[in-house]
Amino acid sequence: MTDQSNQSPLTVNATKLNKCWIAQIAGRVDHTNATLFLTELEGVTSQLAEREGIVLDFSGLEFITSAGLRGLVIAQKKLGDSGSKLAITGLTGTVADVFRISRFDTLFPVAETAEAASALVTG
Amino acid sequence: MAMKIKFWGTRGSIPTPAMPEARIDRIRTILNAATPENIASPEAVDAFIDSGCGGALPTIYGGNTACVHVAGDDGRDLLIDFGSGAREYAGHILRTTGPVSSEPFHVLMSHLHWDHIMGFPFFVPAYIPGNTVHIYACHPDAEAAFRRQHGAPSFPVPFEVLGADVRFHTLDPTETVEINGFEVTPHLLHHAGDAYAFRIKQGGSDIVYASDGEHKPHLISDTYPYVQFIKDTDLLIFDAQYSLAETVSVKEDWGHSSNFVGVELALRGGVGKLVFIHHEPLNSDEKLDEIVAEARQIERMMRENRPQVHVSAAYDGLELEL
Repeated sequence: MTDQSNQSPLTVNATKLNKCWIAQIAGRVDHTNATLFLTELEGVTSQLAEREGIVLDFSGLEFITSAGLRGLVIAQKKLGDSGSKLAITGLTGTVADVFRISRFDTLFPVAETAEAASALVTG
Repeated sequence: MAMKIKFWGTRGSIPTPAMPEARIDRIRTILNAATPENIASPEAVDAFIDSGCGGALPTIYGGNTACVHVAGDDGRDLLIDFGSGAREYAGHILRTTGPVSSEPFHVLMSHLHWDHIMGFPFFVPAYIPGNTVHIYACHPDAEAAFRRQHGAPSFPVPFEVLGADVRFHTLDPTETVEINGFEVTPHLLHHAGDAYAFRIKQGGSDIVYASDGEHKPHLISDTYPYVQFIKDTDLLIFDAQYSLAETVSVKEDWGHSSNFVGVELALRGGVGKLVFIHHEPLNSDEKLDEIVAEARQIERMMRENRPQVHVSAAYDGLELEL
């Protein structure tokens, strides 16, 4: 939580796989860059056509605080209005613990692989 | 100088007595854990109980709503909130000091929701002539709230029947005041109808009572006014009723917080001890133990080079000394 985002810069790289966008999130998300994280998420979700899904791949994520987690809820709410769905993959180690302890693993569909997560949001 | 804190009620929203099934489950757990040696004599039974029945039992949190007693070295004290735990505290007072107290009672009210005032009609000293009860709140309508719950059809005894001298004092939420030898500073919390945290200092001891408050995750930073309010306190008594996920989704703006955010705030504030209160009525003792264990894990994960925050949860009857 000390402001280490300069040491672990946030990156969001999205690619399209059939009717699903896969966004790979890397670095650290905390209060210093939570707004940037939300902006990046909205940049990806705004590209979604109707009923296209998005998978957030957190395998490169080092840590995420409550401020970053809140951005996921906002992105999901906006997607819900368009009929698109969001799923998460790549939860390992510390980030998996954060999702479990915060109960965010109950708010989003979670799959072990990007392919499986893609099936959850495009099926 | 030391400060002693005793928690008479720690549950949120509504008293939560254990149902018979839960008691029977607990008895079954204890019997299954006991060996013949554990129950061979009264002394062995006591030792077995002291060991938490061989580690078979969770913490027993209890079910009374918020009521916390704070005592200083000089014998002066404060009570915080009149939840149902105040009935237990009243019983303690009657047993230890008798029906009439030589010193007035001084009671801080975080807010006026039912779970925080419901113990007052069962606070026996208020019925006994010769007692004085000072009630302090930042809410100017505190007296009206207390009188309303005493009136028909909610309660059979009118407020006017109370034998004690009950006096209400409205606090300015922007000012630090001295109450019965304690320095008390209020702080507004995000909660329906407003709730107030209190930073309470006496001598070298310093605690914050902060029940019933929600903190928006995107506001949490070193400059968040609440972080400044709790800065370097010895003890933060913190509402962790819900999970973080609940507070940003289905229970957003319900006015409560989480273990996760409690740890984030306590680390930023340099808090010594973080103690959860206002436990969710749906949560079992086992679940509350899990919430504490998870909070300790988050604390280790987020601590970095800062001093450790010691995390625990209050239970009815817990006593702490600072």
